[in-house]
Amino acid sequence: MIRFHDTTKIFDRASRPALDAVTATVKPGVITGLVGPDGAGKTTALRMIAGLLKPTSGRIEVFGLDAWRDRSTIRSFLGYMPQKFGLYEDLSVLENLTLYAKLRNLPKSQRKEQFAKLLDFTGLGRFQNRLARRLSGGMKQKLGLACAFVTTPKLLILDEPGVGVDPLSRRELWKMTRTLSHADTIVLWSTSYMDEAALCDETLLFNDGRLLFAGPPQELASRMRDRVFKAHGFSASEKRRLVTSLALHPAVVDATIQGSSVRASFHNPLSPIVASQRFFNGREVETTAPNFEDGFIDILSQETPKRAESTRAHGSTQRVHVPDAFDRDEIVVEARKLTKRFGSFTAASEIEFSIKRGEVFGLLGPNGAGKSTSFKMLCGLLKPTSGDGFVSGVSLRRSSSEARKRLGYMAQKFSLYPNLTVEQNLEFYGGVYGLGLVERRRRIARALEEYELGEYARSASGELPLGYKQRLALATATLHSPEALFLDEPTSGVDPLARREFWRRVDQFASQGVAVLVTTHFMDEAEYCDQIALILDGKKIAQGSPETLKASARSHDNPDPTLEDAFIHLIQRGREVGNEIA
Amino acid sequence: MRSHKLERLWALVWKEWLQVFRDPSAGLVAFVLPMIMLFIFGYGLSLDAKRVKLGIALEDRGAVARAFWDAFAGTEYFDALFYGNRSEAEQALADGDVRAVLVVPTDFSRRFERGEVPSAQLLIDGAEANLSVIIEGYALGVYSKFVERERLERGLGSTALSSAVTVETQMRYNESRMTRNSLVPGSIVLILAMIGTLLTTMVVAREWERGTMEATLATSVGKFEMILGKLIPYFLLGLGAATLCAVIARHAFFVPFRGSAAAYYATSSVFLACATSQGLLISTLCRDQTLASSIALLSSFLPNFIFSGVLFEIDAMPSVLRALTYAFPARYYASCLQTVFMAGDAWSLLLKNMAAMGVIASCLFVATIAATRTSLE
Repeated sequence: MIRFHDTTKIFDRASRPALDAVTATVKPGVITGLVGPDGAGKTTALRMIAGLLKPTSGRIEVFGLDAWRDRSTIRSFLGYMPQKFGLYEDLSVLENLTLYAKLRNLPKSQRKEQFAKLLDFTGLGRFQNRLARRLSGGMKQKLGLACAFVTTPKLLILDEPGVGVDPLSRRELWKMTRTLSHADTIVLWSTSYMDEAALCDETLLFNDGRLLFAGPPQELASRMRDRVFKAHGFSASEKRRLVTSLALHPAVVDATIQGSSVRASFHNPLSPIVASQRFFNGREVETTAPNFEDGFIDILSQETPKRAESTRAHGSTQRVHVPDAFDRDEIVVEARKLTKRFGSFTAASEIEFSIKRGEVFGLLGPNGAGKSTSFKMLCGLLKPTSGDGFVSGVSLRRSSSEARKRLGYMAQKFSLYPNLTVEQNLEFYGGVYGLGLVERRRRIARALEEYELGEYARSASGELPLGYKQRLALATATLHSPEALFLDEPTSGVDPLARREFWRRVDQFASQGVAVLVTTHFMDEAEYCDQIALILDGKKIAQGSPETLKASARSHDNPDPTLEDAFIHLIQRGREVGNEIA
Repeated sequence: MRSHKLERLWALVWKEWLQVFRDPSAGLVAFVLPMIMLFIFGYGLSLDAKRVKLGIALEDRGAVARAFWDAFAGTEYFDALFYGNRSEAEQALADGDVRAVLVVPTDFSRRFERGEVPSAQLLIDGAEANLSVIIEGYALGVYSKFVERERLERGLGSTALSSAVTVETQMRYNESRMTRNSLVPGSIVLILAMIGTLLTTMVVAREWERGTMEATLATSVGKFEMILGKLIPYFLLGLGAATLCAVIARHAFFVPFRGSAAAYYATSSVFLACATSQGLLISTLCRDQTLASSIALLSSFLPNFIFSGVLFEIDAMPSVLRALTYAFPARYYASCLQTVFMAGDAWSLLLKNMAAMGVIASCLFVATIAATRTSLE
C-alpha cells in the first residue's frame, strides 16, 4: 500500500508546485496508472515514491515505511524504470540484465532461471548478445522492463514505458507487466496517452500538479454515459460549421471533427433524439461509448472555467470559413519513392504519398520507424538517397530552398529561442522568411491577436506554458502564409484542451487550402487526419482514411476496432506476408 | 551485507570497463588522444631553435666574408639565406621571411686581414622574445668560433674577443639540452589530467543524460559504491595510459628513464587520485554533459598546462600566479616526472611532492563524498 499524505513538492519557489497537496492511496495487486499531460507531476510523484526526491511538505508511506527516510530499505524491493529506459547502451542485453541483477543483489543461483524466464517473456532470447543500443525502441523498452523485474520487486515503478513504442510492442509490455507481477506487487505506470489509461485497473489523473481523479478508469468514463454523441457523413464545410457552433454552445463540453464525423460531449445526459434536434441540425446521431479523455476534459472544463471560456471565445473569433475557391484535387506535396540510407541502415524505403490542397495527412508510426526521416526529407532538411519530394511542383532535390519557402515547418521541440520574447521570436522568423518590415509588423500584430499571445508578447518564450509555446511555434511557422504546413509531433504531451485548440487551428489552415502534413505516434490524434500513412521499419505499410483503415481490421470478435487495433492488425498481416515470402 | 557491497562494486567497475572498450569516444580520449599529444609535444613542439631562417646580407664578397657565410650556413642552427645588400635583407625581415638578418659590411674582409676584429650587424625579429635571445646567443657563438679559427689559420694571435674568459657550461641531467626530454614527461601530466578529469566527468554526465544514473540510484547501491565504482576504473585506465606514455617516451622519443618503475607508478597514482576525484566532483555538481566537460577542460587541462612549469617557467610568473600553482597538482607531478625521467629516484623530493598531491587529492575526495547524493535532490 502506498499512501500520499497531503504531499507537496516545490522545486522553485517562484513557480507553481510540481505536486500540490496530493492525498491518495495505491493498492497492491493491480496496475495503477498515473495519467496526465507533460508537467502534470507524474514523474515527480514517482520519484518521490522511489525516495529520489524529498517531499517539500507532507509525506508518502510505502508499505508502512516513509518513502524519503527509509529509502534505502524501499530500494531493496523496488523495480524502477526511468523515462529513458535506464539501459547501458554499450552493454549487451544479457550484460544489462546481469548488471541489474548484481546491483539488486539477486543470488547467483537464481540468476540463470530468472534470466531465462525474462528473455523468454521479452522475446529477447535471440538477441541476448546484442548491444542495447542496437535494439529497436520496442525491444529497449522490453529490456528496460526486464531489468526492473529482475528480482521480482514488491514495488514496480515504470515511468512512461509506453511512449513512442509501436502499438504491438506496447500491448506486449502490458501483457508482460500483468504476468510478471505478483498478487501483492504494487505497479505504477505513468502515461500521457489518454487511451492507455483505459488499460489500467486504477488511475490517478494529474494536471498542473493537482490530482483530479482517483479510481478505476471506467468510473471516470461512465460519468459521461449518455453524454457523448456522434453524427456521420458531413461535408468539409458542414462539419466545420457544426463544430464551431457546438463549441460555442454553453451545454457542450467538447466538440471534435473525426474524419467525416462530428463527435460532441455535453454537460448533461441527453437522449439521441434531443441531441439530434437541438445540436446536430436534425442529423441522425448515435450515442458513443465515452472514454477516459471525455471524462478528463469534463473535469478540466469544470475546474478551469476560464480556460474553457477562452477556448470557446477563440471559437468565436474563428470565422466560419466559406472555403475559398481552391481546387481540391490539386496536389501540393508529393513524395516519390523517397529513400534514405545511413550507411547500411535504411531509415526510409521508397516512401510515396501525395497531399492535396486542404487535406490533413498523417504519418503515423512508432519512434524510429522512419516518420521523421521521411518528414525531414520533405522539408529539405535531409537529402534523399534516392527519390524526390515536391512542394507545389518544386523539387526539393533540385531547388530545396525555393521549395522550402513554400512550406511552414514546426519542429518537434518547437525550435523557439527561449531567451527571446514572443514578439522577438515572431520578428526573427518573419525576417528569416523574408517578409518586409511593414508586412512583418502587420502579420505579427495579427498573429499576436489570433493566437491570443498579446499578454505574453514581451515574455521570454522559454517561460511560457507548454500550450502557449505550441501556439507560438505554430504562429512562427505560418507567418509567411505557406502553401504547405509540416508539423512534427506537434501536440505530444500537452493537455487535451490545448490539443483540441491546436487541431482547431490546424483545421482552419486546411479549410483555407493549406496542405497539412503531421507526424504523430498518438493513435487517437490520427483521427483528426483525412488520410493516414502507417510507417513501420522504414516502409509505408498502409494508407487510407481513418475509417477505411479501421474497417480493414473489423472482424467478428472486434466489430468496432480502434485505429490502434487496425495498426496492430496491419503489422501482424505485414509480418505474416513477410514470413510467407521468407 | 559486505559481500553484497563488494559484488555491487565489482559489477559497477566491470560495467565501466566494458563501456570504455566498446564506446569509441572513451577509447579516443583514453588512448588515441594521449598518443596524439605525446607526438605533438615530442615532435611538433620543440623549444630548441634549429634551422632558424637567417638572412645574410653579404655586401662584401671577399674571401673572409665568404668563409664567414660558410660558417653560418654550415651549422644546423641556421638556415642561411643569401641577400645581395642590406635593404633586400631588411625587407625580408619585415616580411617575416627571415627571423634575423646579419649584415656583412663592404669592409669586412679588409678589416679582418688588417688584423682588426671586424664588426657585423645582427638584426633580430623580437616578436618572439625567447627565440630572439636564443638567436643572439647562437649567432654570437658562431661568430666568435669563426674569428678564433680564422685567426689561427692566418697565424694572427688571439684577440680580445677570443681570449676573453670563456665560461665552460656544463648541463646536468639533460646533457644534450634537448627540450624534448623535458616536454615529453611534461605532456604526461596533461594526458593523465585529461583521462582522469575529462573522461570521468564525461562518463558520469552521460549517465545522468541517459537516465542510467537514475536507474542505478533506485537500486541498493550506496554512496561509496557509486564513487568507487567510477574512481577505480578510470584510475586504472589512467595507470594504463601512464604505462603507454612511459614506453613511448622511452622507446620512440629516447627520453632517458633514470628512475624506477615504482617511483613512476607511485607518483602517477597520487596524481591520478587528484584528477579522478576532481572529475567526479565536477560531474556530481553539474549534470549537463556539455557544461561538465567545459568545466573539466577549464579547471583541469588549462591550469595543468599553464601551472605545471613545463612550458612556462613558474619562477617567471607574477607572484599571485606563482602562489596559485601550489593549489594545482600539476606542478608537483611535473617535478616528480622530470626527476624520475631525467635524474632518478630522488625520494626526498618525490615524497615531498607526493605529500602535497595527497593533500589536494584528499580535499577533492572529501568534497566529492559531501557532494554525492543517493537521490535527485
